[in-house]
Amino acid sequence: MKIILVNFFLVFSCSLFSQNFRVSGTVTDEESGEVLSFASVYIPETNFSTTTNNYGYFSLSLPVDTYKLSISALGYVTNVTDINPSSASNLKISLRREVKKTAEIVIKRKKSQLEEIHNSTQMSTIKIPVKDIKNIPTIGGESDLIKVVQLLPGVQRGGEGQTGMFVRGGDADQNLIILDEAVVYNISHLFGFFSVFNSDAIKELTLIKGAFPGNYGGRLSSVLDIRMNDGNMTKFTAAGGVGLLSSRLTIGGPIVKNKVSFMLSGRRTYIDQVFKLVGIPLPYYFYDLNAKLNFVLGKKDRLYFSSYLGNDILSFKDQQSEGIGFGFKLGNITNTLRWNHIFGDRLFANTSFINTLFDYDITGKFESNSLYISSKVNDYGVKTDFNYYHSPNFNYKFGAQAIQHIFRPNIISTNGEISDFLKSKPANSLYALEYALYGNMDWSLMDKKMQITAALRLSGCAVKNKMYIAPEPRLAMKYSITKNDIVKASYARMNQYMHLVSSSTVALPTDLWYPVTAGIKPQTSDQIAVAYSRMFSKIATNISVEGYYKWMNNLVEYKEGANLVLNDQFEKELLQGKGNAYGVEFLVKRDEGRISGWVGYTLSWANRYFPDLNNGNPYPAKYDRRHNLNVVANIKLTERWTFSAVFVYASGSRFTPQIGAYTVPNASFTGVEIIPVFTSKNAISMSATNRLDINFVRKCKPYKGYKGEWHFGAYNVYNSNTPYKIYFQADEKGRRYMEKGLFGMIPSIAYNFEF
Amino acid sequence: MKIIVFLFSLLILQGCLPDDKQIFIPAHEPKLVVFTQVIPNSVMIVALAKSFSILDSGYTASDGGSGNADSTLLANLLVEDATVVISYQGKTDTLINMGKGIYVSLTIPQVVDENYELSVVDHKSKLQITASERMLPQVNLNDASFSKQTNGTFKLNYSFEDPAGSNWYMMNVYQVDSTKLDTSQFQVQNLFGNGSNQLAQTLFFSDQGFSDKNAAGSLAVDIDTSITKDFIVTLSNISPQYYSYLDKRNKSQNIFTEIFKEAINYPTNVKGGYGFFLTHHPSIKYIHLP
Repeated sequence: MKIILVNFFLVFSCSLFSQNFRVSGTVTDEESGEVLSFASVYIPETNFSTTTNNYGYFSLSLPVDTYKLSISALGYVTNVTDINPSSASNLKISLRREVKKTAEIVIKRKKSQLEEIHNSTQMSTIKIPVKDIKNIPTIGGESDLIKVVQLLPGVQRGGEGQTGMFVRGGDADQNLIILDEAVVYNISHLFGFFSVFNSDAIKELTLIKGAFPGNYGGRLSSVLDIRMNDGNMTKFTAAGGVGLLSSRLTIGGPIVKNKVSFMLSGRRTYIDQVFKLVGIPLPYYFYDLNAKLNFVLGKKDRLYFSSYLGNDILSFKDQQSEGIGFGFKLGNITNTLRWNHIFGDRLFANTSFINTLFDYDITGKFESNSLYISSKVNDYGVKTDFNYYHSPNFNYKFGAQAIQHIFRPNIISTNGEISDFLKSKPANSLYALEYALYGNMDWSLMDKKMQITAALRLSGCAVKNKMYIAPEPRLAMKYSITKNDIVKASYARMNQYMHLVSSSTVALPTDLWYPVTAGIKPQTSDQIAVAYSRMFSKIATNISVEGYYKWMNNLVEYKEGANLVLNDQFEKELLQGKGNAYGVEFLVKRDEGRISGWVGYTLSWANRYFPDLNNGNPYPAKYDRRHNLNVVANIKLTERWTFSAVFVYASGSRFTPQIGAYTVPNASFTGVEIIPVFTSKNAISMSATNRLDINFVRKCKPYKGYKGEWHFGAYNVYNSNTPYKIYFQADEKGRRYMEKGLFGMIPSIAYNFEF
Repeated sequence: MKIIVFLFSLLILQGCLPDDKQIFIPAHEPKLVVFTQVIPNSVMIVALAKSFSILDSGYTASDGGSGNADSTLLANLLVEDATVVISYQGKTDTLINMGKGIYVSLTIPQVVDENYELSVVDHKSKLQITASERMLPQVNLNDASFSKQTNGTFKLNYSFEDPAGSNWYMMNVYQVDSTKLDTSQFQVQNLFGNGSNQLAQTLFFSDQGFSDKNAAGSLAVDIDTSITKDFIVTLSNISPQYYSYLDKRNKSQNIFTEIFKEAINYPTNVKGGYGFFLTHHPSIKYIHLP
């Protein structure tokens, strides 16, 4: 401990008294004026380097001298700027988008995001620019961010074709999914088949599966940080697409050139209209709206307002005249107001005010009876984050956040005879105040061969009759064996103060989020991970192997047979137990060049232990898939044609089938009951699935700035059975269990454009 | 034209649906199933059968339900050649085989707080089971009456003396055909013997809600007074494990469990088998509504 303190003192002293100057600034896209996060900022042939933060800001301390400052980002021409101590503060650096001719020249000089992650202490992290995944084939030709995330190692999908994700043996509710810092509670449309994220409105996404930085918390298993486009500061742009299932349109541009910009994006399905063509009334549709305003208030201040609104709507209005009606509405609203301010040239601050609403309404009408059921989760939050760039070897992040959650479950209003057995009930609000303080330190040692990130997050939650508070220590280390060979290790503790209460293993819109209570304790996890990463810079390819072990406590399950729908006494039906997950992940990833994509393989185990389930014996988690192989390839065939393919192989998910039965007298001895016998919990795996999806993209000839492209694709090309359900069949072939596949081959065609 | 295109598209997609495929699941190994009934100061009955695989012919699985078994299958499941032994107070009693899987003893006394050990060997299948159960004290139902609510439903009001410690109770409400039952002389064997009673409801609860040993309360009951005005209410002091079994049976009826066919594993106190070796014995009240 003394040695560490002496080291601290020496490093501090050196940084305070040495002759240094500071270079700082913001990096933007030259064409759109949008800030570029995670761009690489470095002095060639030295160890002085950093990256821009989420808002494009960087700050770097250098010994007094003149330098050539290089700034690069994937898809952009590297910018080289001469700097000296008198001209290095609050630079505004714009990067030009790469075109083919310059790409060949600059490719050897620039650092990609892949290389930056390789070089940083950050592990268990994958960053994907959305523009790179738009060609990846999915169901119906719709770009779907969550389905692409499911192709990454360590991420298991839920049911076939669904957007549920299970990261490193965690549960579906253990993922913190944030859109411009606002939590998105419901990430899917159409009962899980499509994600709510319109790819045209999204700039980039970052998935963190472990080694969580101190600024993230509140969920055990992963963080999916999604950032919306800021809006073009220099010219009006439009982009959109027409597909088999939906159409979308995004517009953006300056309101005041280089000062204020906007982005507006919308998407709507026309499933209802397709069915209407043949006279089948299926008044179901979903839509998403994304909007963003971006204000440059001065050299040191920037303001963003972003908003998302999305709903699934089913409404049988036509039948209401006949005295029958049914409908539901399910959706999210998020609003985020963010203010960036730069204090001097060392301290960057972002303060966010966040509001989220997730609600569902169900309405029904039959003659004189009517029914209305509603549930809501409403969050009001504030958070502030500081980045302090102290010296070449020390950087700090610190901040605080508080979120007031208001839960209003099971609001019921009934009229008519139905009210005899389903009583009207007003909103019974539950309040939970979740808060956190954190400090995060990045420390470079041994001429940057070794880097340490240490963080302490103090999180807590105040609910009725109980206040929880818990420290969350985190540590990540990196050691460079050579320039291209790096080993990393990390430890992270997480706490989770909310959980999803579901009545079954099937995701339903009626599943509700609830906070911890005096009786239901917060879920916790401790995760260790070690990794080896090798970068092949010449071919822009990274290979990594990562092993992890995660212990989870106070996991939430429900008792067998529990009915949690419209049940305010649900707490009595919940159980808390333990879990563990471990595995190895392999990833080969290439972000640029004629052939790009990745190969990811995960070998993993996930177990649960609840004293009151499975006769007190441990059992495998439902999505304990042993093997998971994903191959994603983008191949540029010619200037006009691109081919993309996804191959997926995954062990089957687990289930608990009925295998037998017995008869016993009933409790009153007035009859006989047949009691089913099941296997032990999740004892059986469905068959492994494999599938190939393809997509061809043909770019049309640009005309006066108008660019169009056709997408021709197919999901599950060779019509493989991808089971989602087991059923029992008795026919002339005998009595047996069968697996039913969900989707066969589904062709798709879409047209995308931008100008 | 639009309709033709739509239907053609549907046909193509339907044609592309992959064939369902068979999955092999380890077969269920049959086990002995026990269920017992004690008629105070009269008889202890042990019913024996075997469990069966849902791949056996004669069983029809149903989505969300327990399924149905035909009479041939049920008859084949009865254990008709077994040695059934109950041990208590250092004594051993071999039960009489009555046929059709029923074994009885007319001599086993009910000794409160005594442990009763059951041992069964099926000579045909060579299957064996054991079970152990403590004889809980009979709890007398001091009072039981119905009160009609303003909305036309009924409540059962009851009182009894709750023994010390944690206890769990089961109440059965029967609608009685009084023409076939001598209500002036209640005998438990009459209740179960003449086949004239129809179960109205099974209720179960723990004594957690009672503040003192004089337990009293009321429970909503679903009775039909247009069928009969005569009712019998029985109260049994049951084990927590059997309470858990009843609770799970009750929950298995909920619509979500049925729709999604959620697995429910029922508790048993039978080692190596299924069912329950029960030693509880009911107290009875007769209610005649005016």
